[in-house]
Amino acid sequence: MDMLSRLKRKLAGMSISQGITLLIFVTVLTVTMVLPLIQMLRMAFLGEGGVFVGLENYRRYFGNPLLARSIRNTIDISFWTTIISTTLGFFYAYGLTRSNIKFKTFFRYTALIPIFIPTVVHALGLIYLFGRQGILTRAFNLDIEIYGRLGIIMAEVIFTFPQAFLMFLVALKFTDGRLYEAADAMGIPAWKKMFFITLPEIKYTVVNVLFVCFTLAFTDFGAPKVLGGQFNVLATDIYQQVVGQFNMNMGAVVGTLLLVPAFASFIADRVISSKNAGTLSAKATTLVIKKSYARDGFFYVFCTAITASLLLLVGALFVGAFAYFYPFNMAFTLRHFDFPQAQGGINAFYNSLLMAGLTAVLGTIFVFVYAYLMEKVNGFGGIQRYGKLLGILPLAVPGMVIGLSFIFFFNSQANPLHFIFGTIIILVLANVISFFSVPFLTISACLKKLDKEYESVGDSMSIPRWKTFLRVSVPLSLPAILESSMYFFVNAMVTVSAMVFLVSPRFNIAAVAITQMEENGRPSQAAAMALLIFGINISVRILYEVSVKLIQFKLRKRETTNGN
Amino acid sequence: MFLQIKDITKKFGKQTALNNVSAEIEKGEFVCILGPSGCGKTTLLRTIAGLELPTSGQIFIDGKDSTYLHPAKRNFGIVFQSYALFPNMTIVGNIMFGLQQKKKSMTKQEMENKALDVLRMVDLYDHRNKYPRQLSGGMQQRTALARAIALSPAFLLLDEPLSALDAKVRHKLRTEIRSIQQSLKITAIMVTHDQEEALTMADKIIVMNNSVVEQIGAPREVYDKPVNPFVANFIGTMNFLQRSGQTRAIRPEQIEIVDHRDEHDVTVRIKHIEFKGVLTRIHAFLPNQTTMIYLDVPSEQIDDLQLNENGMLFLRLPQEHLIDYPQGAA
Repeated sequence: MDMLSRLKRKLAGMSISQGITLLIFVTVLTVTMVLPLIQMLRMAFLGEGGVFVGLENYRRYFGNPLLARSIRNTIDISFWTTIISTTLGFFYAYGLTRSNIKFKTFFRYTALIPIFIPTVVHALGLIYLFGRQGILTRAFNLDIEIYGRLGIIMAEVIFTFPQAFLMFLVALKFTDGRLYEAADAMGIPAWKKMFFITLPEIKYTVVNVLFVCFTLAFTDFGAPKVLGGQFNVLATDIYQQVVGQFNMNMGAVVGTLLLVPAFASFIADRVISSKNAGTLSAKATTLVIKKSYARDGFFYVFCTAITASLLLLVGALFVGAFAYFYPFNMAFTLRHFDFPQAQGGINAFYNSLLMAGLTAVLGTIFVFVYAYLMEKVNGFGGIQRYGKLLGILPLAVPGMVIGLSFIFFFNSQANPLHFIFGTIIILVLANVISFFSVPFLTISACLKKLDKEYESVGDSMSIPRWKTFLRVSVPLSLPAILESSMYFFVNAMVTVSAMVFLVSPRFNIAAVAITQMEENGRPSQAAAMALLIFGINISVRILYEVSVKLIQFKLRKRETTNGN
Repeated sequence: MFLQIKDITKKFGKQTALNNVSAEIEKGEFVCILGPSGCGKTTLLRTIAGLELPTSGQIFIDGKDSTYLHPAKRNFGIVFQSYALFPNMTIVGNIMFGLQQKKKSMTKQEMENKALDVLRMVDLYDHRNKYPRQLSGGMQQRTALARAIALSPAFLLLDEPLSALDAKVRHKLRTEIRSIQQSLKITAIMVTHDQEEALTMADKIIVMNNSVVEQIGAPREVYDKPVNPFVANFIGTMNFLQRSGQTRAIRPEQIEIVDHRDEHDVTVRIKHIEFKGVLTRIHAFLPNQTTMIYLDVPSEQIDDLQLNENGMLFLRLPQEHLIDYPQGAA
């Protein structure tokens, strides 16, 4: 075959416009994610004035006993958080899937409370409960040292528990009841069923949960910032190095350390998900849960205890936000909702709303088109493989690192995109990148399920691809689109770690304002702001749940009225 | 000649899906591409549609080299096994979607009339405002057919359109598709693995196996004169006998039972009598005790023949129905 016809064949297989769109999208993600990361990695090896110094920065870092101690601290709290959260998450999910307790819906939603508030607020709630003037401290005459190791571990457990719980919930929900029936027929005792059926079935999830909890605790900034005291961790070190001492290179060094568990977690997840695909047969029967008062009793107590703790945490925020001067004057007041101007006042909240709204809308549009280009366009194998990898890469990049690498990259005068620095654009961008992967995976999975012949039919009717996209793919993916928007919104409302480096005094956001108000000894106003975030996030979640129910209802109506 | 497929080869990586495939299709013909799963028949259809591009070879539509022509410019309608109806549009909406795009010269009223016309043709006028999932599989497939013909395409491609349906519906739709095709005088190419479907519907059958074309011919021709043992075996049942240096083949229904043994006749021992409805199939051993021979007898005659398992039987293999293949071919 001659060159010309080979070229012709190659070109005919691709649509030029789709190819260009694909290239643009992959380039945008490369420029906004990969280049900043590379810039941060470079910084770690540069000294004063941008001279290459090799591993000198690392030597200095590990040579400093105070800083080296942070690593031990971080590993220590991450380790205990992982053990506790994984255990609690497993039993909570087990109770909700494998026992006959009532109020499962209530238990399920209450467990999600921590997702809707920033991690600083988990810490703030703990201070209100266990601090020197804490509600529980006073009520039971407790003496718990909440500032430091114990407090941080508690806050990180609250932060990671919903993640562990949700992952276990999914894993435990889908099982093949026939396995348990077969075991019963053979007279196998309950503990053996647990160790030989249940745990092997969810072993990949267990590994995943361990990694996720460890990474989240390892890289969290909010809780140690508030509760740390003399107990330093890596995330607070970065902040001190960069914001406190303007030592950018040292910040980059710590940034690379934060990447280590995140990358290990990322690789573990990739290996596991390739092994974990489609193990459940279509013939699987649902598990019939047997009667057991002892088991149900245990889970009533267990789930109620967890739920009560979480509600107590939110309750403490209410007390802090509405009491005139806790604990001395408990009169009801709204004065704490008058936020200090130094932190941007109520505007910080409006800014957050605007930012989260933009993140939800623009992020979802971008991710949807991106996932569509990866799944439904033919003939760009190489770029598409790279693009898919790029889509899941943010899983391995903690918010702190994104924030840091954004400063290094966009704050450089030489960068033509420098103008976005200090504006809302960079905040939205950092949020979209930080939370890119989950929506990307959700939407990709949804698009994969759509009949691949829709595009072929469209082609045969001369309908342009963009029209098939808008009229067929988008409406059919509506639930995934809503889920992704909600995910973007809620996370953008609560995230602090990427934001602390990027907000400007002129444009502050609520989650960062909470951290600052707490630092400045204004916990009541911090609690008030936290409640605003909590309220808006719960509302968005409810809006999402109702919309999905409505869509399902409409679809079911379309399907059940029989047409004969 | 309407469509010419010339020396098409299609490779997916190292795997060859089509190996030097050539065929010609006349205007108004109903052509079935028949073969076992994985033989390349769907790839051939998708290559004709332009949904896949050949590694080498050419496709001419109406005499024009259309090998690299975009699918949208080939002017065909397509029906898939999965129906591929847009679930968020009503039945009439599905048909209008294509019309609005392609027939820009039509007024809205004309488009609607056209859509309703085709719906009447497939007998779905009463269901026009329903959504696809409210209809049975057969009705959904008729909608897909209506959507495909609404644009008055030059030819129709059907990718196993009946495979997902129940036997009863399948038989009914066979007749319907064929009669619509004939009334519109439209060229149609259908992929199927069901030999009965191909025999009853097609003007011409392209038999494929292992990425190559084995035989092209009218249903009768392919059935009566299969060019090789694969075709013979794939379409219907065939007995192969090794005789005096060559392989001779005969269909079960061509074998006659005789009372007296002639010198050319064979004696067999009955192994098993299988009632199959109209016909009864007799499984019997040749004298060598290893080769099995099958013959079909109208069931109504079975009682008169007074057959029993392990009994002996004389068979005549009429010369005119014997097909010769090179020795060892089967």
